[in-house]
Amino acid sequence: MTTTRTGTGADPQQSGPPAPPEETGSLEQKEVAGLSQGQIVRKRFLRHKGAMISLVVLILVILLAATSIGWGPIPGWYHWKYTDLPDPYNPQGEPTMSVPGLFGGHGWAWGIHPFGQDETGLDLFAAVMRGTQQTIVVILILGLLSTVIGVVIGAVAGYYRGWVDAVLMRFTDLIITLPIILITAVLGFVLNAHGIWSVALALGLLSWTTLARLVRGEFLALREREFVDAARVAGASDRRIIFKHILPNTVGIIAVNTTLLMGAGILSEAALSFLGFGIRLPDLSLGSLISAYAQSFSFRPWLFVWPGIFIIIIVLCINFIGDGLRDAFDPKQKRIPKARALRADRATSAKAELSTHETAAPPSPAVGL
Amino acid sequence: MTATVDRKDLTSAPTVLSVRDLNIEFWVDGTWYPAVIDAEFDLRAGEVLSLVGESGSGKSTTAMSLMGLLPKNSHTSGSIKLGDREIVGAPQHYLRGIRGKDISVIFQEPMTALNPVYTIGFQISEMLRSHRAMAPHAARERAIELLKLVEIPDPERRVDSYPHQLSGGQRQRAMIAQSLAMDPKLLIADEPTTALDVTVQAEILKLMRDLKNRISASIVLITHDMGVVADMADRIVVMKDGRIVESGTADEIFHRPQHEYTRQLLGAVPHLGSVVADEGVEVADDLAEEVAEALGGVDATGTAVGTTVGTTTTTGTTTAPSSGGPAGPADHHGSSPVGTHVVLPRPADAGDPTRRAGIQPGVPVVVDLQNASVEYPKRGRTPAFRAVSDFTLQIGQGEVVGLVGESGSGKTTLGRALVGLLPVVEGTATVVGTTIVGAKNRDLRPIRRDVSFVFQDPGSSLNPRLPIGESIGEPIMLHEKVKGAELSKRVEALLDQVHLARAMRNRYPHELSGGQRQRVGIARALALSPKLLIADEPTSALDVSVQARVLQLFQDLQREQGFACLFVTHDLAVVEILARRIAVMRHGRLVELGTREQILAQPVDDYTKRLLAAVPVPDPEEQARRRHQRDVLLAAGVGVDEDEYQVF
Repeated sequence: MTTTRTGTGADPQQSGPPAPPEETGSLEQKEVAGLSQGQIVRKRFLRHKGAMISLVVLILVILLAATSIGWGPIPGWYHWKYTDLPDPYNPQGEPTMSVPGLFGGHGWAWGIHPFGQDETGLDLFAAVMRGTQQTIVVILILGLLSTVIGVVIGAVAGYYRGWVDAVLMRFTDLIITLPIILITAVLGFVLNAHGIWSVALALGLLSWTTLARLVRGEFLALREREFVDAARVAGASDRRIIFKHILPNTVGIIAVNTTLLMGAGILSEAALSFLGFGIRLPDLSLGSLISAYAQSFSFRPWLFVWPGIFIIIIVLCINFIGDGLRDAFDPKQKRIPKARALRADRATSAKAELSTHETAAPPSPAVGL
Repeated sequence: MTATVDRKDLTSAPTVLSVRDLNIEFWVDGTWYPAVIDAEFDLRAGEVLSLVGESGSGKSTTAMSLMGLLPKNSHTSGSIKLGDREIVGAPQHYLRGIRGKDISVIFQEPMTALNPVYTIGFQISEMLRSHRAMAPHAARERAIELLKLVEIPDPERRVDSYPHQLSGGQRQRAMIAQSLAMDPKLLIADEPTTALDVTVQAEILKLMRDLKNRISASIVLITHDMGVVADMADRIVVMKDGRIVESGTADEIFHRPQHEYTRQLLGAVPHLGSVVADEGVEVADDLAEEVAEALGGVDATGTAVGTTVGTTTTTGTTTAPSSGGPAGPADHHGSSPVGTHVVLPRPADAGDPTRRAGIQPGVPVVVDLQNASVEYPKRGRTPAFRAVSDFTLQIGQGEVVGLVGESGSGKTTLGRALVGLLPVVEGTATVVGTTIVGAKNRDLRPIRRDVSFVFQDPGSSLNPRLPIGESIGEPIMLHEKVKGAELSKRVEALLDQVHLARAMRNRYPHELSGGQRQRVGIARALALSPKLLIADEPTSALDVSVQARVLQLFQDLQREQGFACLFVTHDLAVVEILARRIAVMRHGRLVELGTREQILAQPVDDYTKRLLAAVPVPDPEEQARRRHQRDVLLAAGVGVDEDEYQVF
C-alpha cells in the first residue's frame, strides 16, 4: 500500500472504462464553436512542442545562413566570403572561436575565423553558411517535388485502380530502374544547367517513386473503407474524396517517408557534387564540404565537425517537424503526460481504489510497468 | 461490496471452476482502471454458465483471466481455482500445460482464429501433438474423429481443407473440434455465434448442447445475445462495469430479475413477436408440427415439448402464449393441446409469395424496382458477380420496409445499389424519380440529395481524421454550398435532433462510444432531409440497450420527418419493431414479401419459416419449445439447400 487514505470520498469517480475519452470535460465545454479539420490540425501542430522548437531552430539557421554571408539581395554582415582565400590566421587554421570547456577553450571569444580555416585559407564559417544555403534549397525543392509527384501519382493510381493504376505503376517502375546519379548527370549536361537548381530538380523528379508506391498501397486499402462510400453517398466528388477524405489518413507515411528522403537528399547531393555534377567549386554545399574534408578528420577535425553539426541540425529539425505534422493529423495521438503528472494520477487512482475496495487487496502499482 | 452470488446448486456435481474475489485492473495512460471487481462464481461439471453484459462490462476479461491470457499491463488478484489448481499467479509454463488441455476457447470469429495458411486437420493435430506425444497419422485420425464429432460432413476430405474453403458455420465447427481435442473440462465460448447467421447459429447452438451432454464439459458462455443465453444457459451471471450485479439460474434471471440493471437489460432486448402480439397477432411457431405431421414419425418430439409448455405459466416479458391456433386474436389465451392442432391454412397459397402486400394505394412511390439485377463489376480477370437478380420491390413515401436475409443474400448489395454505389444492370430501377439503371456518377448527383445511407459499422463509416461536426456538415456543404456560421447552426440543429451534445462536434469518431457514433451516422444521413433512407444493419454493432435507444430515436425521427426507409437487417425482432412490410431475401432473390403480420404469422416460403424458427427468443421456456421445433425443421430439411453441405 503506497498511499495513505486521505480525503476519502473526495473522488467521486469510482470506476471508469479502461480508456476514458471523457476526461477533458472543461476543455470540451470551451470548444463549442465548430472547428474544421484544418483548424484542429493547425491547433494541434502549434501545440506540438518538438515541432515548434524545431521550426524555430530551422528558421534561425536559415536566417543565420542568409544574413551572415548574404543571400541574393540580402546583404551579409560577415567579413569573409566563401570565395575569399585569406592567409591562415592560426598555423593549422584552428578555429578562433572559444567556448569555455569546449575543445580546450578559455573564455568566450569569436575571433576572426570562428570555425577555422582549411589549408587553402578558406574561412569555414563562410563556407558552412554557403553550404547551408545550398543544402536547404536542395532538400526543400527535393522534398516538395517528390512529395507532390509521389502523392498525386500514388493517390490517383490507388484510387482509380484498373488501367490508370497499371500505367502509372509501370511508369514508376521505369523511374525506379533509372540510376539516379547517371540521370542527374545527363540532365545537367543536356539542360546545360549547373549548380544547385539542376541537382535539386533532377533529384526531386526522380526520387518520388517509393512514396508513390506507399501512398498507392494506403489508398488501395483506404478506398475500400466505408467512410469513402459514405462520402460518395454524401455527394463528394472524386477529387474531394481523394484529397479531403483519404489523403489525411496517409499523412503518417508521407511525413515519415519525406523526412527520410530529405535526409538522404543531402547525401545524394554530396555524392553528385563529389562526382563533379551539380555544385562545383568554388560553390559549396554541406555535403560537398563533408566529402571534401572527410580525410582531414584526424588532423583538422573542425573542418568535418562544423558542416556535420549543421547537417544534423537541419535533418533533425525536419524530422521533428514531420513528426509534428503526423501527430497533428492523427487524432488518436495522445499527449503523454509528464512523469510527475503520472505519479499524481496513480496516487488518485489508488485513492479511488481504496475508497471502492473495502476488503480487496490493494493494487500493486509496480505490476505491469 | 460483494456481489450476490447464487450458491444454490442445480446438481451435486463436483465444482470444476471456482472464482473468488477476482479483481483485474489495467494500467492505461498512467492510471489503474478496474476491469473486473470482486467477481465470484462457481461452475459445476456439465453446467453452462453464461456471462452476460454489455461491451466493456468485463465479461471477456474475466473469461480470458481464466486461462491467464491477459495482456501485460493487467494485474489480477484473488483466486481462480480450476479443480484444485490455482490459476492466478501461476507461472507461464504451468499455464501452457493447462491451456488447450483443461481449458479451451471457442472464439468469436473463426475466420481470424484459425490460421489461414494451415489446413484445419493440421491445426487440430498441432493441438494434440503439443500436449501429448503422438504420431502424425494418429493425430490425423483423431482429427477426423473430432470433425465427425462436430458433424462436419465428409470429414476425411474436410480434414485437408483450408479455413477459407469452409463456410462460416463449418469453420466454427472446426474451431469447436479443435477446442475439444484434448477433452477439456472447461470450454470458454466467447460470443461463439455472434459472427454467424441465425440459421447457422441455431445449428451451432444445437451442436454445443449435444456435445456438452456427450463429453460432460462445462461451458462458460460469453454473449450479449439474451436469446442465445435463454437457449443455452443453466446459470447466468450479469455483469456491469466490472461488477457482478446479479447471478442465478436461468429461470430466476429471466423471470424474477432482482437487480434494476438486469431488468433494464432484459427490457431492451427486442423480442420476436412482441410488437405484432400487441395487435393480436402471433408469430407462427407451430411450423414444426406442420412438418411433423406431414412427415409423420418425428412428431413425438414436438408433441412432448408442446405439452410441457402448455402447462408452463409464462411471466414477465413473455407475451405470446405457446401454441395458439390459426384463429388469431380470439384464441389468444387458449393454449390448445398440440395433439388437436390443425395445420395452418395458407391464405396466400395460390398467389406469388413475393407479392403478398404492395404499397398502400394513393401513396407516391419513392423506390420502384422491377426485375432489377445488381452486379459487382468485373475487375481484372475476376468476372462480374451478380449479387441480386430479378428483384421487384416498391417503397411508398414515408413507408418503412424491412429487408431481411442472411449474410451473402444480397441485402446490403441491394441497399448500396439504391444509392448508386453499385450498378443496377438489368430491369428498371427508379429512385425518387430518377432512373438509376446504367447511370453515371454525374447523373446520380441529384439523387444523392434525396437518398442517404446509414452504414452498418459506425466506426468505419466515419472518417477517422475528420471531426464529427465536419462529417455531419459535409452533405449540406456539398449540396447547398452553405459555409461558416450557417453551416455551424445546421450542424448544431442536427446534433440536437439525435440527442448529442453540441460540444461533441469537435471530437474525432474514436472518441465516441458506439451508440454515439451511430447517432452521428444518423445525423449525417438526415442532414439534407432525405426522401429515402437506406439503413444497413445500423444497430447490429451495438449493445442491446444502446440498440434500443438508437431504434427509439430512429422511430421518432422517422415519424417526425416521414422519410421512406429500407431497413436492412438480419434481425427479425428489430425489423418487426420498425417495418410495415418485410421482404425476405435469399441467394440474391426475393423469396417473400408481405406485411409484418403476414410474414411473422403466416409465412409461406419454407426459408422464411426456417428463419423465423431460428431466431432465439429471450425466454428459456419458450426458447426450449422453439428449439425443439427448430430441430424438427432442421431434421426435415425445410428450407435447406442441397448445396449447403457440398464440399468445394
